Amino acid sequence: MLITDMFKLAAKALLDRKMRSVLTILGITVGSAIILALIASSAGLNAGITANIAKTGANILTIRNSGGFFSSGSSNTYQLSQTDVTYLKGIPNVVHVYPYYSFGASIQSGGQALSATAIGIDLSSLPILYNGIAVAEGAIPLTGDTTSAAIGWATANPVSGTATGLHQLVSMSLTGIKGSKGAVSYAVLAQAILAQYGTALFANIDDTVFMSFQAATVISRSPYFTGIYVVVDNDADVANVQTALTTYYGTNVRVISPGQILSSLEGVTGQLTIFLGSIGAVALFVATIGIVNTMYVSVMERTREIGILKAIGYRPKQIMGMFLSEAALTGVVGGITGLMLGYVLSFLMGGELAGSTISFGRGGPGGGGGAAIVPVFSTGLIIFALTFPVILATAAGLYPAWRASKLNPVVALKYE
Amino acid sequence: MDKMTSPTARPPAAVVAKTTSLSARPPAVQLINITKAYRVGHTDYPALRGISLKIDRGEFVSIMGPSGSGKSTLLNVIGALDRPTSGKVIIDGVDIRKLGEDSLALLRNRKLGFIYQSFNLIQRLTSIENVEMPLIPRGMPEKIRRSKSLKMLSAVGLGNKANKRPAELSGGEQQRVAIARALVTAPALIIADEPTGNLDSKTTSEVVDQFVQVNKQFGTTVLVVTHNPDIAERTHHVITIRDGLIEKEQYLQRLDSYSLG
Repeated sequence: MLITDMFKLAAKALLDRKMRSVLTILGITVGSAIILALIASSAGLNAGITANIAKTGANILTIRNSGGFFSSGSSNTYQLSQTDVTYLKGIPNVVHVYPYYSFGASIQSGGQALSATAIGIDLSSLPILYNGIAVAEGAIPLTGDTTSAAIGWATANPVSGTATGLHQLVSMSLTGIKGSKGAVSYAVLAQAILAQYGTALFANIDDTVFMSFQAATVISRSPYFTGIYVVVDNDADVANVQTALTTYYGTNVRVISPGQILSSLEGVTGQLTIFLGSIGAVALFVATIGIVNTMYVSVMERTREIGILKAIGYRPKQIMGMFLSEAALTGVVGGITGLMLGYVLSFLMGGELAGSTISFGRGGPGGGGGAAIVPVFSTGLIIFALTFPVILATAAGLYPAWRASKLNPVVALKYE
Repeated sequence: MDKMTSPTARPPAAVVAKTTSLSARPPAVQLINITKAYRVGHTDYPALRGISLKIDRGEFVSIMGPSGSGKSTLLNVIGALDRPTSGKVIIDGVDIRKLGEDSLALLRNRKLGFIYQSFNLIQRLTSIENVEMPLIPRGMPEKIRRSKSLKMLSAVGLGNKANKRPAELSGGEQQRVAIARALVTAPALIIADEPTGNLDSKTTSEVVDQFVQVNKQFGTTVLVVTHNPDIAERTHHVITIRDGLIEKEQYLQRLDSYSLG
């Protein structure tokens, strides 16, 4: 018996019961789509995190008061100061040490308040901290004066309202300043408008105003920094430096490394994937039971037909093959439609994940804006999407098909 | 044979050897002391109680007998659909007791054609698709299958109804489709179980004419179970069964003196 004939007969049988076939296939489609969307989103999320860290550089450590990365202002007794900078510069393999101040900023632009982050740091550090950062207009001011600033793309070009031009004044209302109860007003001159960059280390560079370290010192009137960036000569030495820091500081400060962030984020996404993935697996399992059921009913209904096939000389294996082909075809169609639905679903889900896991709020160097996740459909995933439902459906068809092949022709022919 | 069929699709050596190498060709059917009992609960009901008979090639045979006499059981045994409890069944020289499921299926496909009272067509398939069905397990390419089936449908006068489904055909037409399906494989033996039981007298005589013609023209052995004495009268050999035993066996006419009519 030709394989093509087997599948043609199977297709004919499925088309004969269109509604039932569609419903059975729908089960596979949905189950498969959920799993695919999850895997693709999860892969996209990981790729996003990895890219994010690659932008910032894996060789950069962030030191913060042990109040921590995830909480805002509250701090314990230890404060980072110039003493620490001196100490850090003395650690082997450390090439740069950049202390910084970070404030919440509300920028007045065209009558609208724009939420942003203001960072005071040695501005020559920007190309070192943010790989490939570029200037759209002007030049990053390196004079260390208290009024010159480099502003992020989105800060200069708000969604509504007028754009801030080069050399224009940027009026900010700063909050989160230690020892100062209300907001502090401060204005800087936009000497550089940065090109669009996106997020790096979960700070949205486009929403940030970078001013000089001196300006921040003036604003905060405090010798204590928000944090310190430590640049290590290469990635391989990061661990050594981290060990040295832990030995020196104990729990007084928190040392954040990109690798640490990556693994903790992967932990979060991993759990999420397992949780949602098990929902998808249950859906697919139910769909498989659906195939068993449909096939079983189909064998019962077609008992007489099977009797006829036996009488005209179809061998048991051929009859089994015909029913298995029907199950496999269900899987093929379900796999294809599942892939299409999963593709659409992954983009919807990508947006949701971006909203829930990437936004850490005001924790890192700047407020973290949620970046959209681009789902990743690898070749392996596509192959999986097209084969797994077929394998599952065929397995589901095994028992009913075996039953069909074992029917006694005499009994089957009498079946009403 | 087709490349894609599994190795088991080849005819078993027994089937081939017996049919091709013997110079004196064996009878179409030979039964030796066949018994068949059905077990219901703890009781055995004997359907056949020791039947021996011989049907020669080219014979047109009728089996008669009241309901429950064991006719259908006998037919199922001869048709390799059912195995006897004891005794020997030799179809075209092959003792089918020794054959496995696959070989029995092959025997049915290669040598036998079935025709039933209730036609047993597959309702969702068209006439021509129904006729094609026994050719598919042979791995015959679709084009050849189609043309063979269309030829056979035309031979039974249904060339113009090839694409109709059974529900769109009359009883007589449906039975002719079933006959075409039985004949398309060029079987050695046609087994018909009350083929005219659901047909009116005019259609009955048309169907019987068809059997007579096939028997005469191709030398196909035809075995018909019937209640209708008019049909029995037109056959060579009438076997009457009662209570699982042969009650009477008559030869109405010699093979060579048989004429179409």
